[in-house]
Amino acid sequence: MNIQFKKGVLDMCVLAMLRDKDSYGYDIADSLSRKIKLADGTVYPILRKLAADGMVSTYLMESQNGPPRKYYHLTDQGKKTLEEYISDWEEFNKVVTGIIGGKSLE
Amino acid sequence: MNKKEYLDCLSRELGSLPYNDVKEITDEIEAHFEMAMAEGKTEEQISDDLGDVKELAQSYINCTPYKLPQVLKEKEPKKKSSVGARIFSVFICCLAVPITALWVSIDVAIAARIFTSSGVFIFRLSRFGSYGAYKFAALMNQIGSVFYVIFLGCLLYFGIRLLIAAGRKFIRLNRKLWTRGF
Repeated sequence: MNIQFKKGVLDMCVLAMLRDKDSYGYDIADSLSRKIKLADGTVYPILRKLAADGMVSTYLMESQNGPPRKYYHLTDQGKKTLEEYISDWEEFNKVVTGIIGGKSLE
Repeated sequence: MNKKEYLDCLSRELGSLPYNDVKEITDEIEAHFEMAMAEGKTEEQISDDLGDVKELAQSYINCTPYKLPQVLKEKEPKKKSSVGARIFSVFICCLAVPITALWVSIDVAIAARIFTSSGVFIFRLSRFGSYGAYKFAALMNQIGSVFYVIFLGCLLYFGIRLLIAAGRKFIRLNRKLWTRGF
């Protein structure tokens, strides 16, 4: 798939993955790179940027095995931004589907 | 690439970021390695899955907002040196230095005469015995040595102060690199 497609929606996908429950970097990187074919590393800079922008907060939590894990939590600002992203996406998707749908009928 | 090579390369590529950012990033990627290894992947495989190191570093650099240097605090006006310190430095310049110079020149004069007619002169001075006809010179020698010691003490004092100031500056520079990078 076109890498540009993926890049545009990654922020939204990462935020969406944190909507229901907090998660740690590896979990997000692993499941996202499995669903959308991506390099595992792609997610980490995004998480860092989201944290710097205040969309997510981080905390450390002990794990049963190994060192404590860095968990990410969606902040209120992150939730608001996610809602905006989703409505933008749906709107955009509709328009794009209309355009390419119309073209394929020609 | 194994884990160590990958992390080393990553931190090298991130070189322009502040040190604690680099540390946080490499810690996170190292944690990724450890969790993936716990799932039974090899280090090489994990490195491949993570993607190109340079690309990863570049996307970290791109997504790190450039921190503007904080507005430099207005420098506090230099503290005026206390009256004591000023008197002290006048003392150094007007007394200690000339007297030390005098002392040294007397020494030179004495040394120059060693091999001439006044060998006795040296002999007497060095013994602290009776100074005979050279009382004045001997007295100046003693006074001179006292001031010389004071002078050396002052040099030491200022030397130590300079060293402390330089040490503070060095620590401040490191702290700046830590939080803001190059």
